[in-house]
Amino acid sequence: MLSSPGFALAIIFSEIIPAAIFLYAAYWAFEIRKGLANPIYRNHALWQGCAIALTAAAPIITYSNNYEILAGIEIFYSAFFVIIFIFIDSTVKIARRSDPLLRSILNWKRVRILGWAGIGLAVFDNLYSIVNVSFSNSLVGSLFFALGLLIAFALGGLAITIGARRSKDMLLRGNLKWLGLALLFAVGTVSVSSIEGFMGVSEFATYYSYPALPSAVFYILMGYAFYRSSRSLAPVSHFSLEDAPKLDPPAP
Amino acid sequence: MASTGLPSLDNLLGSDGYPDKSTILVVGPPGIGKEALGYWFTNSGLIQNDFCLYNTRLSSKEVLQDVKAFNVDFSQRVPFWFASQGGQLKFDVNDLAGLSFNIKDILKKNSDRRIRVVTDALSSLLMLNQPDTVYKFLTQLFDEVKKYDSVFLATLEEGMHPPNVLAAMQQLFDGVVELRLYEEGLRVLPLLRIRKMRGVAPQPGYYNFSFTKTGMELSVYAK
Repeated sequence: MLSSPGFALAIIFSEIIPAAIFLYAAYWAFEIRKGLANPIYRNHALWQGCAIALTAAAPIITYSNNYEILAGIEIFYSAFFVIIFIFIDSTVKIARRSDPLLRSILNWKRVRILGWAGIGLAVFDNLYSIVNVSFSNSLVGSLFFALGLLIAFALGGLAITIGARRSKDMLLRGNLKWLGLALLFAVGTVSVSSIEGFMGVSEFATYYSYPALPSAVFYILMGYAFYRSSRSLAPVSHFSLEDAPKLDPPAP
Repeated sequence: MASTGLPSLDNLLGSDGYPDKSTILVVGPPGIGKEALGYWFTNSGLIQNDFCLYNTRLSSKEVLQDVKAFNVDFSQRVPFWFASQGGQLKFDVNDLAGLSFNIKDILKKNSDRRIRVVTDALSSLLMLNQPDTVYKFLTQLFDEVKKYDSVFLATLEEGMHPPNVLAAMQQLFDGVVELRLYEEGLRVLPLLRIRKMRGVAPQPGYYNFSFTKTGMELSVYAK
């Protein structure tokens, strides 16, 4: 029997607070996008916002106990992977633009095709699992999924790292630094959950009671890192009185 | 006066455009649309049959993709491209002397008409060379530019250079147009300010701007 305080705290700290932070981070990405005019930068902000919003939704869907909604979950994660890679692609493009020497990053125009092939493998695995549930648990299915994501995200991660090192845009570097931290906290979230599983804490208890709290801390930190990353998409100043226009007094 | 290509900006300047024989700096963060002012300025020159030189660190193809996004059409009337790829002249960001020679040569050969020079390479030049070197290069170039009926417009990335370098560049140019993003509550507003412009009365006001299919819309920003 679940304890009510543990259940309430788990819901608040592992679902409501993180979701609120993630959605706030996504809001700022979309809002800053409105202030930008260049299509490459607007796309980067757009896909960052979409990726963060989907990350906010991911645990809520994952935590669902209703596995009859398998198709919806598989479609959601397929879209999630596609959007993450679109975001990586847009980030590599602006990283190259901010390199004063405009060097090609890993010959990205060609290498991204490999990345898309990887995403295609993972998406195929997800969608085929809807009609053939045993496929995702099979060796081939697992290989498709793992290999596909590994290719895409390893290439993307490497390209972004190289781009960030070459870029002279301090703001882009800040944006990527916070994104990198968000990914580290994501690893923390998954690690804590995995340790709990290894210790024999039941899945149900993990999702809906006190055991959810340790991973919730990492998840909240991940949301904060995403928020800081969104705010780093462009320099936004606060209007001060010194900046206020000195308007002529009205005519008598 | 050389029209900016944007009627709202011409009105704001109160003089139908940038002053003749002037050097204009457009400064702002990446992605805010600084280059769009260069595109519209070039387009206006092409319509008026001015000689338009577009110097870019990108390839002409990349610039044309960006240009289309701002509803500017360079297909009918084409500027003279001084680009890293796809231009009549090849631009090497490491070759300041070559850049200076080529621009001066082009100015001389087209001295019979008004000349508009637009460059997006200033930030790259400052990052790859000592600021003093670039400052001297620009000073000599501007002396040459002002011998002819020409206007030189450059864009500069905010956030990529130390404040003293930005200040030195702003001091060097005859006119400075500043684009910035400001936060007002939960909103982000792109604002434009004419920081200085030769021959134009000082304008402390900020203007909310947005790019449309026909150019740029400006509205007074009052807090």
